Order: sequence, then C-alpha cells, then structure tokens
Amino acid sequence: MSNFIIDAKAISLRYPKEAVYALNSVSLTVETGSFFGLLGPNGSGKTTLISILCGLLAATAGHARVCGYDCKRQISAIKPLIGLAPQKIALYPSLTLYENLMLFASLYTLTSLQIKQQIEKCLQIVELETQAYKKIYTFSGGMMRRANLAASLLHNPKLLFLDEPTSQVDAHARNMIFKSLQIINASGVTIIYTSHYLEEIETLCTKTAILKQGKIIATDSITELKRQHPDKTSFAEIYLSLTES
Amino acid sequence: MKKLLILIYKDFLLLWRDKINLVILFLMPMFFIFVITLLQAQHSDDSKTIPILLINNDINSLQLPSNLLNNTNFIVKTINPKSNQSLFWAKTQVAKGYDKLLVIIPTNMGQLLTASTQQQIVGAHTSSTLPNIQLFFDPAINPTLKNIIIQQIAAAIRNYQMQTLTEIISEVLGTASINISQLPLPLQIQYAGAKSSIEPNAVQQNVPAWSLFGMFFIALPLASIMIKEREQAVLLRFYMTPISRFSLIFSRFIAFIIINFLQLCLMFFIGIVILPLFNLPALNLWSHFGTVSIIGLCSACAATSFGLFIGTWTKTIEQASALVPILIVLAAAIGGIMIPIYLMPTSMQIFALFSPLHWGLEAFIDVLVRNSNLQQISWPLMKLILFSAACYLLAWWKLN
Repeated sequence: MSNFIIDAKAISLRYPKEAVYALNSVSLTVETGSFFGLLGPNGSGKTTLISILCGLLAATAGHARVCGYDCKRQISAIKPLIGLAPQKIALYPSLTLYENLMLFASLYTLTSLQIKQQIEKCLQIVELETQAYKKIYTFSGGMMRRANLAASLLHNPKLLFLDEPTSQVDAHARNMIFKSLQIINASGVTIIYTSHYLEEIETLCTKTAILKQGKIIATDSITELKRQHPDKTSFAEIYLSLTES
Repeated sequence: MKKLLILIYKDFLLLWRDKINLVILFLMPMFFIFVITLLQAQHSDDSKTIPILLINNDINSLQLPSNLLNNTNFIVKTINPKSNQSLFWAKTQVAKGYDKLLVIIPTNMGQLLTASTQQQIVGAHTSSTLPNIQLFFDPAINPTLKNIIIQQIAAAIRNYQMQTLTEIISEVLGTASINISQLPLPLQIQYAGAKSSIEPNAVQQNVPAWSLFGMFFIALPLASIMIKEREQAVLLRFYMTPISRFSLIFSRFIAFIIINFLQLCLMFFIGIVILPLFNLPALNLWSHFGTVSIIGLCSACAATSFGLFIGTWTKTIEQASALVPILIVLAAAIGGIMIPIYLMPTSMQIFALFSPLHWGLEAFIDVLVRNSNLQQISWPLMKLILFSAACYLLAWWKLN
C-alpha cells in the first residue's frame, strides 16, 4: 500500500462553455498524516482540485486515488474516509449545533452510542460543548467556523479537506481553530488546507503546493522552498514572486 | 429506511423553525379560502347591495315603477322629478360610481305603454311613438351585472305588458282580473347526477378549488429551502455523506407530501367547521372520504414535485419567488379556479387541458358535486401523477 493518501496524476478539468482549463494536468501526492497546504490566487483551481478529490466533480482527463480508491469509480468507498469543511458554513442556521451534528452523523453508518460519543468528541475538539444547544444563527463568525469544522469530523475521517477555514474570523477565533486543527492532525488525520493567509500555511503545514491558473507551479516544504529562493527574505515574498503574472 | 426517516424529520424541523413559511403554508390559504368563499357566497345570495336611482316622471301611473321595484333585486332610491337639480345630481352620482344605475321613466309612460299594448292586440296602427325608459350606467359597472339589470328591467316591462293583456282579456270575457305574478310557475330545478341529499353550493365548489390553489403554493417554501441549502453549501455536505441523491430528493418529496396533505385537511376544516358558523353550508365530503383523500394525495404529489422542480431549476430565491406565483396564478386562471371553464372564450378553454390545477379541480368537482366514483375520475388523477413524475424526474436529473 502506498504511503500517499492522495495520488493524483495529470488531472485536467474544463468547465462547460469555458475556454480555459480550470485545472491543467495537475499531478500531486500527499503523504498520509501530513498537514498539506494548498495555495494560490483566486481562480487558480484550489476549490476545483478539492472538488475532484472529494468526488464532487469528475476530471475530464487524468486520474486520482484518494485513500487508495479511484476518485471516479470508487467514490462510495472514499466518502466515509474523507471529510470536507467548505468555505461556506454548511449547516442549517435555524437548527441548534447539536441538531445539525446529530443529523449529519446519523447519515453515516454509526450506532446511536457512537453518534453520541462522536458528537461529544467533536464538540470538545472545537471547544463548543457549552454552545451545543444554541441555534447556529446566534453564533459569532468564529464559532460558526468551528461548528462547520466539527460537522466534518463526525465520522472520524482519515483525510480532511479544509477550504479557507479561517476566512472572516478574528485573530482569537483563528487561534482557536489552529489549536483544534493541530489536535486533529496529531490524531493521525491528514489535512489538506487552503487559505489566502500565508502565515497560516507557514505555521501549520508541513508541505505545500502553489497553484496558478490551473497548474501547480511549486510543491515542497516551506523550508525547502525558502532554500530554493535564497534571494527572498520570507515565504510571502516567494509566494508573490511565483504567482505574479 | 432509518436515514430516510431522519431526513424527513429534518424537513419537518426546518419548517417548524421557519415561522414565516409556516404562515405562508397554513394560515394564509386557510384565511384565503374563508374570505373568498364568504365573498362569493354573499355575492350570489345577497344582490340587494347594488344601489339604483329612479326618476319617475310618470306620476299618474304607479304600476310600472312598482313593477320595477318589485322585480329587480336591487336597492332602488326614488328621486323627486320636480327638483331642477335632480337629474344632474343623479347622473353625477352614477358617473362617480356611488350608484350603479339611473333609471328615468318618461311622463305618462304607463299610460302610453298600456295604449301601445292595446293597439297591438286590436291590430291598430300606432301614430305616436313610444318613449324610451332611459338607463344610465356607471361606466365601471361589471358587464355581467349590467346584462342582469337590463334583463330584469326588460322582464319588468314585459310583465307590465302581460298584465295589461290579461286585463283586456278578462274584460272581454267578463271574468275577474288576475294578477299574472301570482300565477303558478311550473319549474322544478334539479342537478343532474347529483346526490339528492347534497345540493351543490358555493362551499362545495369554492373550497376544493381554492384549496388546490393554496396547495400549489407549497412550491414557494419548498424551493426556497432547496435554494438556501445550495447557497449555504449544506447540499455539499450532504453530497459528502454516503447518502444517495435519490434519497435526498425522495425524503423531501415524502416530507412535503405529508405537509401538503395536512395543509389540505386544514383548508377542508375551514369548509367543514368554520364556514357553517357564518351561515354557509358545510363542505360535505364524508360520503366520498376515500376518493377525496386519493385526489388530495395525487394533488399533493403534483404540487410537491412542482416545488422540487422549481427548487432545482431556479438559481436564486428571487427567481423562484417571482416565478412560482406567476405560474400558479396562470395555471389557476386557465384551469377554471377563478372563472369557470365554460365561461371562458372557446379559444382559451383548450389551455385548461394543460393546467394541473384544472385536473385536480375536475376530479374534486366530479366527486363532490357530480357524485362520480374513483374509476370515473381516473383520467384527471392519471394526469396529476404523470405531471408529478415528470417534475420529479426533471428535478432528480438536475440534482445529478
């Protein structure tokens, strides 16, 4: 069995009626247990790549394996092994956090006891135990983000995709999310993390890939990228020089 | 199965928490049915609310105005013809819409009408022309109402002429004069095919019609829930779970059919319990309870699938909010909910065949008023089911 939880080869995708490729022959490997950053300007193809790896979109060319299964043909085997915290708060605002978690947990093959235990565990990770019976619309932006994260962990995924999990939250809430993510990663969950905040990637990720116009233009650890660009003083400078058109 | 029940429960919970949509779904249609049925019943039973002005210059002959007063079903206000201002004032009243009609009876009208009738009987040539009774209508009067008034006034004149005729005949025969309005009228009014115990009435026809109209409005909250799920990425989270897209749409279909059927029950409750409190006949559906339930179920399937279709094919809540009322009002208008099909122009009647509201109404009226059985209404029910299947499949296809 390969040590790579994600193994994508020459993935391409062109949306109908679009002239350019959203993804153009992207190849990517992610090691099991790593904290992998996916960087790139708006429209570079980060969300499209995640959607293909989650089986939500079908690539027009190339193939990818996630958790050892083919993304196109074995999506039902992949689904219980992966979690996704989308950019938007994918929860019902009029339901309480507990009701939301109960609903989504019940859709996986878990016993009633396991569901209760998992909900408690997830609430603990995101530090929202005391807010469980409050409706989502009453939450602050940071609490919503953490609730969104909790809902993605209910089924104990091996691989977690996080699409800009700290957007529109204050520094304090961001710090709480970081702590939660480090706990999750330490428990053996591989995390694919997209963000526009370079310092987040630098702090959290062991390895990163930079996308530009549907292509991966660099993939390595931050340390290695810094070593490859001795003329740049920071990771931010490296990123800007690589992505500038 | 357990997952399906969880998803159905979730839809109930979502709706329960959405008070605005609850009002749209349950209270508004109930109130609507109550008001519309009450209005239509009052309109047909109590036409004595339409005011008419009468200037009677025929002071020597009291019989013609009294005929008009007795034979028309309107409030008649008599104006003194001697007043100089009376004619101008009366015309202004009618022109402004305060009164719907001004009737001016010329001088010696009764006498001249009698003379004219007598001359017609003996075959004599009349040298003098008969003056006209003048009718001035409010320009904004309903055309149907105008025709009814004209027919009633014409009947009053004919009645007067008939009375003159009978008096002449009685005089010739030397018998006592008879009043023709007291003669027996050999008319028996029945409804073909209807049950003798249930007389068709406004409640029996209006409640099912407007209930169907209300039922189809379920499309609005249903579509808005679906669009919100898409916008908030909740749908994306569902896609990440091991639940099939078929289960997602099917659970919603079942949940909203139950809600829609409950809605229908509450609207029928208005017809059965509330309307009789306002001196209207009660909606009688007990003798056809099973058949009515099946029609309700088929209509609920059609309305819910229509909602699923709108929810999947429209991109924003604004689009759905604009589209749903237009489509439903249009389907109701061409489907005979607002105006009976037989009163529509022939060229428009063909469109009724394409309205799901018409299919439902046809089935309800056939059962509740025409006393039809399930087999006799199988075709409109089939059309409702086919419509439901088409909308459902299109929604599922779009979701995939």
